[in-house]
Amino acid sequence: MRRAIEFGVGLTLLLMLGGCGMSRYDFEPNRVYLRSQENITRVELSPVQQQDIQDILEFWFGTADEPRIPSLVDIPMDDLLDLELLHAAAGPVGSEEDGTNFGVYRRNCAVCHGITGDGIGPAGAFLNPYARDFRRGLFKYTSTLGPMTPPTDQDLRLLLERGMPGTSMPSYRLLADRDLDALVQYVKYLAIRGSVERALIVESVDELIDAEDRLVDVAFDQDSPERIAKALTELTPLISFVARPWLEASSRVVEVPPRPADWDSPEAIDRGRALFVGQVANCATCHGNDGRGDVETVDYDDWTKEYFDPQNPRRVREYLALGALKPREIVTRNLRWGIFQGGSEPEDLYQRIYHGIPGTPMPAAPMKDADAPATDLRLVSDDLWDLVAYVLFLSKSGDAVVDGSGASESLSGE
Amino acid sequence: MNEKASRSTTGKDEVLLDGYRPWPHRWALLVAWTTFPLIWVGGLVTTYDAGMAVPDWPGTFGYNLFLYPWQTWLFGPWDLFLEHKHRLLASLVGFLTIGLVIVVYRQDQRRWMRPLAVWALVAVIAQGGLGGARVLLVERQLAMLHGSIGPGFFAYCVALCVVTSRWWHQQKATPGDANGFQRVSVLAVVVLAYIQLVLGALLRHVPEAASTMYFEVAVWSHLIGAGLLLGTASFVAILMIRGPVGDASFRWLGWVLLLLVGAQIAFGCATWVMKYHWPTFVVQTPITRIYALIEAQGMLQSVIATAHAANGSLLLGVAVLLAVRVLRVYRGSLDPKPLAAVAAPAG
Repeated sequence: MRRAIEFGVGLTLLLMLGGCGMSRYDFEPNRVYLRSQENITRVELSPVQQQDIQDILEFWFGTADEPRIPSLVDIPMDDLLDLELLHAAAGPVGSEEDGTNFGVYRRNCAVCHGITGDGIGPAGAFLNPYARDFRRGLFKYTSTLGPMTPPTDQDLRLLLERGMPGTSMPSYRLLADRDLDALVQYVKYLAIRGSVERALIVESVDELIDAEDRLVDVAFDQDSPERIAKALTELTPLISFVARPWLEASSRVVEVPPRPADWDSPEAIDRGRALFVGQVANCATCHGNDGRGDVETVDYDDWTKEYFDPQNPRRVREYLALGALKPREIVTRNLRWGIFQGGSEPEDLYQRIYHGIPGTPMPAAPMKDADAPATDLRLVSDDLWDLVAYVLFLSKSGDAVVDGSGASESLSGE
Repeated sequence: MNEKASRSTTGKDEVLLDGYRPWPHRWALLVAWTTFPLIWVGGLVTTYDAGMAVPDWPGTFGYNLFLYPWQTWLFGPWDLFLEHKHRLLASLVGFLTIGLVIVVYRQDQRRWMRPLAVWALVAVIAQGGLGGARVLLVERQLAMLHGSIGPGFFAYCVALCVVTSRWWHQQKATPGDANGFQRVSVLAVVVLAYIQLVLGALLRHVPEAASTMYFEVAVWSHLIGAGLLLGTASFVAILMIRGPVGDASFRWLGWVLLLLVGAQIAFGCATWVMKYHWPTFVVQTPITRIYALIEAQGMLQSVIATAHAANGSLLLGVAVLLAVRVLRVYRGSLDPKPLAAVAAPAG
């Protein structure tokens, strides 16, 4: 009897430590963004109004176990998201006899990125840099023009396959093609869902004046999806607003021009160095003249700036209490280490310089049009290739001192 | 202690010490040696998150477990290969444990050995049922419990190996030599090693919906536990290597314990780096140039994570081995009256 009691107590403690209720895999509301908007507008949403947002999202996008694609008149959502692949990525982990996997996102991503894609998975606080919060729809490494343009499927797939060196983001190149495609679809789904949630929050704090005001009471018409859909008609432009850029992303891809014949010659490296420390490209301001990234800068990425004001650091406490991760200063890349998160091929570096890194202080290069006058000091594609050559030269120089004259040896000669 | 020369049932000359029979020990060894690879395979199932590769239980995709087509198993998907192999091996351990009960009932003259053997069978059946419940209920936290009990069963088998061994029978009870501090120290290693395994299982089966706080508490507990285990195990190992406890085999066990705890710390660090990359306090240092890119489900990542789990079980097993032996050397209290009814060996 005593043994049985001891065993029971031990088991209970273990399960308590294991965390009862953690088997519920629901999407989490974006409380941090809601609070930031409430603080800006001085409007506080009631619990009912907050629940309305979640109910609307569930009606449109389903649940973490049963995702759904909203139907729109003006946007072919089925062209944007593949429901079959979403089902392969969502839900609990499992597989069929032929090796077809399910729960691919939960199996591979959720421990860091979280069930909701908020970058606050169980292991999230330990990662440096933090796992990406997909809900802004903002991605660092894209081939598309403009910082707010979403990535293409190919961008996401490439990132999954090669991972992000120097971070906790692994390469998933060993996964099956279908699993990788499912992850691409699901990341898009989480990003679109998260962005729509943000839009609904903004809509709510802007439009709901009284605590009794409701966006739409979805629960009221639970048994009639048609009536709910009709009631939500006025809000569907929010989805279109979010989804359209994703649909058009592939048309905004900027092709990388072919490398010039002498792109990695000593002369190109010297020209690259001059640009690197010069006033137009202005790389040295953050990366330092020798690329070690040891210049004293205090800055944060856009995800952090949303809830953290360096001028008023104490204010962050209320966001930390809502689950936000402790703000971390963004660190300038030490180019000497040769670890490039977005890929280390010359074309990858060209894209990083051309597009900048959205969401971070790394700006896009100032490019001039082909017909710009000679007095225009902005850059052309050949300048970017010179910069690429110099950056690669630095990455292969290790800790050696690189002086200003004749950066010297050709990369191709190494 | 009286030694009686006798002829065993196998025909070989055996020195029977107060009713010592070799078969219970041999069988216990067989169970323990089969359980260890089972823990490896179970660890691989966790590493690859292949626990749900076969959605039914106790059958496999509608087949009787033992009749599942071997071609599909061996040449099918990797997850299926692992999970089915885990089930087959577990069944083997179950059958061997039944065999152990029979052998103990037939051969071991000590009455108190019978419930010990039956408990082993109960444990292995419960563990199998827990594995089945994890599959049928799709419950990750049962997998965590399953992963915590497995090493406990292995350690229990190790203890059975010791109490059925010739060495056990040869020991004389020396209650006057009792050294409470040393007994407490070796028991502390056992407790800490097991707590570490449970915390490791928590980390390896972390629910994806868990909070960051849950994971942080588990990680820090595991790290503090590692420090305590390292200190305690090193102390005990040095005690064994230098001290006058028992015979030379204790010195050897001390070295093994030291080696295993060192390896475990190294495996633990490597497991973290290969899963989550370098910790924050070194992330801005050149060391991160080593293993800059993690490869999900890569061979190195999988083998090291599984080795960490399996080595933990081995460490627990050695700690139990040492603890039971130390308790035996200092106190003969676990060796009460032989079973009178089975006193006379065959021959």
